[in-house]
This record gives sequence, structure tokens and C-alpha cells, in this order.
Amino acid sequence: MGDATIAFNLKSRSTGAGSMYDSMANRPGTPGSDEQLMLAFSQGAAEAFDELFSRYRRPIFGFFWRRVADAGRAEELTQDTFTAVIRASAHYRADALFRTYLYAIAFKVLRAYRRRAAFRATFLGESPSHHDPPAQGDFETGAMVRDAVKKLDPVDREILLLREFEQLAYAEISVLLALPLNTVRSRLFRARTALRNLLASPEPGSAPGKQEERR
Amino acid sequence: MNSAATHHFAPQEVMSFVDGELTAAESQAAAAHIADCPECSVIADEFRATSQRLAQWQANEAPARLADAVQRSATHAAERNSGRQPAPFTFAKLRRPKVWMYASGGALACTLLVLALPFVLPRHLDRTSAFIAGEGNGRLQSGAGVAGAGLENRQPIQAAIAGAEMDRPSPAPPVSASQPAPMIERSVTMVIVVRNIAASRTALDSMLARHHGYAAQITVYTPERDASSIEASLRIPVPELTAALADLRALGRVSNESQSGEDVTQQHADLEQRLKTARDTEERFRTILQQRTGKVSDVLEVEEAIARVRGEIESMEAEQKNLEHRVEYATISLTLSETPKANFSTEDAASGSRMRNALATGYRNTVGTVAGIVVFLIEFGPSILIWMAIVVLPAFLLWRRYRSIRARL
Repeated sequence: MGDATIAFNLKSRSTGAGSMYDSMANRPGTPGSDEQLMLAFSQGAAEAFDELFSRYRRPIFGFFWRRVADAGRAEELTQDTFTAVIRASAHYRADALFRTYLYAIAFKVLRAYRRRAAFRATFLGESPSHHDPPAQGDFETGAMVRDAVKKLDPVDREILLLREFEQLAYAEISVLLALPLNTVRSRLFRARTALRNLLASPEPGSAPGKQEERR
Repeated sequence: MNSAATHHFAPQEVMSFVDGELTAAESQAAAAHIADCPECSVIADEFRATSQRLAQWQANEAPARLADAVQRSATHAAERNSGRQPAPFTFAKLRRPKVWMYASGGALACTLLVLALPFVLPRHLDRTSAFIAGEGNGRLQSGAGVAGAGLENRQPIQAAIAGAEMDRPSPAPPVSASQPAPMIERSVTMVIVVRNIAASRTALDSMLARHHGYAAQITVYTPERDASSIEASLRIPVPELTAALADLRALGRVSNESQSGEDVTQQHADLEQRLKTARDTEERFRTILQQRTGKVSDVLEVEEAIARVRGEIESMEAEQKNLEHRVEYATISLTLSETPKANFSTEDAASGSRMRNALATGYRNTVGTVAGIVVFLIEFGPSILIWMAIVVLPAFLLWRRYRSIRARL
């Protein structure tokens, strides 16, 4: 049983929802790793970026799609993210994992979008679009999960999403969100517990540990 | 980290194990424990189940046109990176902190330069002109001194005028045929910088005695922290004037000297003339008094007239004497100043009182400042509050709204 557990572990890491990259090829330092490709692109190899793009296109789109209430908007933000990476490509240095770098850029794009949208909503009266992202597959359960996630505390939700969907390690999450590692762990625990309770008893009430307006 | 000996792993550690966040050794220990511990096993299963539920929320496929647009920018960027095309200017570049740093630094430098110019330039000009003025004075002798020598040349003209007056029929008795020598009232102004005022004072006194002069007025200034100085008005007999001036020049460095001569010959001659007339008049009155003895009132009248004329004569005589004296004795207006020496002694008797004065001033300033603030608050406080209510409150509310919307996104 112990072995099976370990095998399951590895499996769940490499095939998370929405991730398409092969974890074997992506070990940094090996030829064809993200960092190598990015360095090659920074020196003029256009096809290196194609490979990176194909690896991360869907994950980044999913990243935005889960956080922004509009597929069209998610598409724009994904494009902005990759454009930003392209523009900064001349100065790229392989200091950290490319994946952390990419998600950091995606986060900046997301924050900028949220700021703009909130500004427009506050001062210009435009209401932010409230299309709930449609769920594929089992429509009902997908929608239920989506609604349960929405009820979580914003920071807890972010940590959960980064862990479950973007498959980031605790260390990467703590860097991206500028939180201590222990905080990440405890909040992730809290988020999962809350989500489990929400999914177990689907009531339109508040889950334990949820704080709506805190940021 | 809990070892396998303890009964429970904390649930968070079980979670870390499920997420693969433990080291290899820790993982093994945890796996071994979970295998044996039903509670931890349940916890681990629950975590996995939650993850699986989450996986049901799937995202759509990213649209194709996204791929095309990104591909295009990637190609352009690759060309730039390989050096074939220069990077275009984007407004995003303006957002870089470095640009703002240089821009604000440059603006600050320009502002400082513009503000400093009015202070730098005029002072520079002042110093230049002061330099020019200061150096020149010491060696100058004013034109008047030179002109004094030139007055001798006017003598023939004087003589001609006097001669013309002699020819002119005048109601006054004829002027005396002998032409008097020109009478010049001489005055000299000197400013000398000396090393020691006291020594110079002594030298001055001895000089006066030597040249039979006297001091009409001497004032000595000895301020506490400044250079001492003497202002004096001296009278020197004209024959001794040149020698006296030479002695004075020897006292120190002459920073300023000017001489002038006023020709008072005519003045003197006029006075002489009037005196003569007055004396003659007086004589005639006396003769009348002696010869004609008439009524008492007539006698009184004549005596009154005599007294009046006598008064005039006496005042004219005094004026004449004064004039003659001024011609006999030249006037020297002398200013002696000491080269300023900074005081080395720190034992200033006044420093104690300076401290006390400073304390008092400081206390006054403090009270003044506090009072000023209070006054300001009283005067403007209500208006400020009103403005804050009008401006700040709505802004604050909008800000709150912004934050809440942002949190909800």
C-alpha cells in the first residue's frame, strides 16, 4: 500500500488538471528544458519559443480562465502574458525556474487587470463582467465546485488554485504571493478543509474560515 | 518533523506528504506511518478526494487565434534578439523606474540652477566692481589737489576783473589800487589705514605740535569686536601743510586723499570794502554828532544809527577774521582706521550673556511658534475641516468602493 501511495503521488503531480507538459523533459538544465528554450529564444531562436508556447499555452489560459469571469478576457490576458515574456526575452536570465518566472508575469498581468477593472467600476461606473466561467464535462459538479471555490477567502483560494491547478510547489507559491512558507501550508490546509466541507454539504451559507473582503 | 515513533503526524504534514513536499527520507517515514495509522490514512484519502473533485472543473481549450497572434510577436522578437532589428520604443518603456529617475533628476537639477542664478550672478558682478574701486583709491590724488596748483594761473584774470571793477563807476568809494595776493582756503581729506590706533594717536599729537597746528575736533571709536578708528578735524598753518601731510602719510596706508582750495579773495575784498564803507559811515555819524547839537530826538537817532553801524562793523570784522584764519590755517579732515584684526581670545566677556540672550530668544521663538500654530489652527481649522469633508470624504468612500470591488474580482 505504501508503494502504491508513492506511485499515486508521482502520478498526481505529473498529470494535474490542465497541465500538459512532460515532467521528465522539464527538469532544468537538461536540453529542451524551459530554461534552455528561453535562453535560446533570447538569442534569436524563434522556434524555441514555439515549443514553450505549446507547453504553457493551456496552463496559462486555464490560470486566467479560473480567475477571471470571462473566456474572452482570459484569452486577452494570456496573450498579454506571453507578449510580456516575449518583450522581456532579450533580458532573460535563467535565475529561477522558467515556470515561476512565467507565473509571476501572469500574476502581474492579473493584478493590473484587476486594478484597471476595479478603477473603471469605481470611478466610471462600469460594472465588471460577471459571466461565470462555464464548466465542461459534468456540468453540474463543475458548477458546484466553481461556486464552492468562489466562497473561499481570496488568498486561500489563490493558494488552492495555484496548488491544485497550476501544480506549483509550496516554495513557488510562497515566492509568487510573497507569503512565508508556513503560512502557505496552513492556509492551503484551511482552504482544502473548507472546500471539503462546502462540497460535502452544499448550502448557500458561509464556509468556516471564509472572509469575503479581506485582501 | 515527527518521527515514526509518535502516534500522529499532524494533518498538515499528511497534506504535505500527499502533495509531495516532504524530503525523500521524510516521505518514506510518512508513508510507513500512514500505512499503519488509520486516522492519518483517512486524512490522506480525503485530501486526494478533494483534489479529484476539483479536477472536475475543467477549462476550455485556448482559442486558436491566440496562438497566431502570439506566434507573430514571437517571430518579431526573435529577429530583434538575434540583432537584426532594433527594439522599438514603447510607452511601456516609460514606466521603467530608471527613466523616471533620470527625468526627475534632470528636472531637479534644472530647477536648482534657475533658482540659484539670481544669487550667483549679481554677487559676482559686485565683487568685480568692488575690486576695481578698492585698488584704485590708494594711489589716486583727486583732481582738486592738482587744480589747487592751477589756481595760480587764474591770478591774471582776477587782476583783470579787479581792474575792470576799478574802472567801473561805483557808488562805493574807489577800491584800493594795490591788488591783494589771492587768498585760498585749503582743505584736505585723508583716509588712512593704520596698524595701531593708539600709536597713531600719539604720532598725530606729536605731529600737530611739530607743525604748530591744533585739532579742532577728534573722535575716537573703539567698538568691541570691530576695528577702531579716529575721525579728526585738524588745522595746520599753510606753510607747514605739505610737511604735515607728508608726516600723515607716513602713519599708514593712504586709502583716500583729496585736496581742494577755495578762492576767497573776492569774498575778502568784498568784506574789506563793506567794512571800509561802514567805518566811513560811522565816522560821518560821529562827526554829525559832534558838530550839530540839535534836538534830543535827533541826537538819539544819530546814536542809534551809530550803534547799528558799529554792530555791523563788528560782525563783518569777525567774519573777516574767520576768513583770514581759514586762509592761514588749512583744514585737514582725517580718518584713521585700524586694519581689522580678528580676536583670537575666546574668553569673551560677553559669551555668557550671549548664551543667556540665546536662551531667552529661543524660548521666545518656541512660544511664538506654538502660538503661531494654535492661531493658525483657530483661524483656518474650521475651513480646512470643511474642505476635507467636501473633498476627502468622497475620495475616501470611492477608495473603499474600489478596494471592495477589487477584492471581489
